[in-house]
Amino acid sequence: MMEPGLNHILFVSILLFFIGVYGFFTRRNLITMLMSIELILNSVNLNFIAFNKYLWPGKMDGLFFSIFVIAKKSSID
Amino acid sequence: MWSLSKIASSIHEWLSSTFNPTITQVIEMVIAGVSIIGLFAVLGLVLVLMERRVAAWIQIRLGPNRVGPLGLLQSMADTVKLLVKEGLTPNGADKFLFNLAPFIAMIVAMLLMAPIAFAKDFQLWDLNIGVLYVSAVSSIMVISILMAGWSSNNKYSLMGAMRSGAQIVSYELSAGLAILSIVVLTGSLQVSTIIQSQADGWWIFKGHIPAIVSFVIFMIAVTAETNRAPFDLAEAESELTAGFHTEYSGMKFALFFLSEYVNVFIVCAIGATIFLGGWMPFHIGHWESFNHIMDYIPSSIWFFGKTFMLIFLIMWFRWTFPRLRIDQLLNLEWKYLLPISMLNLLIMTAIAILGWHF
Amino acid sequence: MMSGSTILFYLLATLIISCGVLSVLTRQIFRAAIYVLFTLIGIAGMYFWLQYEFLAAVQIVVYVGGIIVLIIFSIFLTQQAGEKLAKQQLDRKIFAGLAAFCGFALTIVQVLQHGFKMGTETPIVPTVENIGQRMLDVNNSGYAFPFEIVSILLLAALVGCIVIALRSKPEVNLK
Repeated sequence: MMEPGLNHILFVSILLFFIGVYGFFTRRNLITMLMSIELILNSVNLNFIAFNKYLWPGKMDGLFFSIFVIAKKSSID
Repeated sequence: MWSLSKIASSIHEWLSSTFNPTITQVIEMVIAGVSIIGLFAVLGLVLVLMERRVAAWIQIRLGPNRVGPLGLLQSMADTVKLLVKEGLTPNGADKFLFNLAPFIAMIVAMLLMAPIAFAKDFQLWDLNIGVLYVSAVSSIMVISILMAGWSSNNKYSLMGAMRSGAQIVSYELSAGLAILSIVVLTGSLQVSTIIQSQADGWWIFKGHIPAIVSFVIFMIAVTAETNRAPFDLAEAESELTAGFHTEYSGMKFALFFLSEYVNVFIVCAIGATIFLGGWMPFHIGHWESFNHIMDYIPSSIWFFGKTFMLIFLIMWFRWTFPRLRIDQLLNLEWKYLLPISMLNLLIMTAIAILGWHF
Repeated sequence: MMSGSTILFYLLATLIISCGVLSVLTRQIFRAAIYVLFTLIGIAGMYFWLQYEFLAAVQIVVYVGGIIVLIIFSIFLTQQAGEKLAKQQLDRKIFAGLAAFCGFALTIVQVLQHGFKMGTETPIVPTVENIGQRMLDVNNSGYAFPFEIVSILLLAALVGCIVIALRSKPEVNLK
């Protein structure tokens, strides 16, 4: 066990992304496919935030991208 | 003078002088958790008794008067009865979710306790988005109701859960807007800053008519959000037996019951914090001597006094208004409360920009 | 000796991953929604852990209070309690698992090989004031324009919903 850093968060978000992809391919029901898309979008958001926090801490662009992704997702639903 | 913050800081000093920092933190977390659970138990006992007494007083009868002196031990007896009852799980229910739902309701109520300031400098977690945190976490509450309704495998429960879902999701909006209209004035979401900004008068007096309007909207919306009469469609006993907790018995039912009362306490505490100054004593502008006299009353008494006054108000609603129909309920929110609170927010923003408030 | 924040990180990561896996594997649709909910709460906790409190609160308000409730409502209206989803075909499962695994392996190798340059600037604290000022800034690469675009998108979605809801039902002949 190491001190968690950027790579740990990236690992979690990539794993979550491909869990979502697996769900999207296997599910045949529209509602469950929508849930898989939620997982994918959330992993992307986590990625944005992790990059913002560790690589460009002086900016907030990743944060705004995440907020816009959330807003768009809610409008799609 | 006796105060909660002094007790807390002396405990902290004693712990940090005896143990190393990590263990001190762990012990303090345990103390906080245990005292929150203790507060829950006390609130449950007090509020149940208070509800029955208020109901009796409004209906001109005596209320519980057999168990203990003046019936004060009635809610204790009820607790024992609920504890020894058998917890049934209906046939065909989704057992995992059925058992999980009351605990989620309880955990959410516990999480909501974190940013509430009970007395001067006495707060568990003063995070910088305090009020937003409360309205965010309280929206998880609806999940436990939906979960209970679905997993009971009962038509009444499902109907109750759907009604309460529609109700909570829509009334959250106007409660949020009412909170926001005060946040516009303070310019901060942090609970301690909001309380400090009321040192020269509470916002309900300083914010002119828009503050009073948003206070009224807030009280209506939180009454609906906590599923209390006249908005108790989720458990309308004459139509749906008991709504989403029809199938629950024993301790699991008690958890739902307790979380309802704790939620009433929490929303009233938030209302008291935002509109009535939290633990801040009643101050008027620059009347120094008057303010000084008011400061002699301990801050915790101010906080609990305001909170219980609002709780009494909500209990008063219950015996005053008849229950709304579902379409009337949604009309009230979407056609009246939401437009009014949006307009109110606009007026409040104008007041804040022009500096018209006191 | 691990510090509290390390333990918290691993707990949150375990919650996110395990609930994500369960949500795509379970055959009860309502349970899938609940597992997705726990994943989203875990991600909100991760934002708290990264000290982006505002985003965490937005995540909980929008996802838990809005989207998951909508999904649960659509489950209530279309599915039967106690019914299970149809079993997935084995070849589809193998194909999807293989695709996901290969994609995962490819990406993780890329990430581990790429040396990220850690930022050295003084960090901005993402308080509500900072976020609001940058969001509505029209000059220094602020986000006022995307903000307006998103609000138009939301308005369009609202109008679309109302149009769909207003569409009168065709007369049904009961006989």
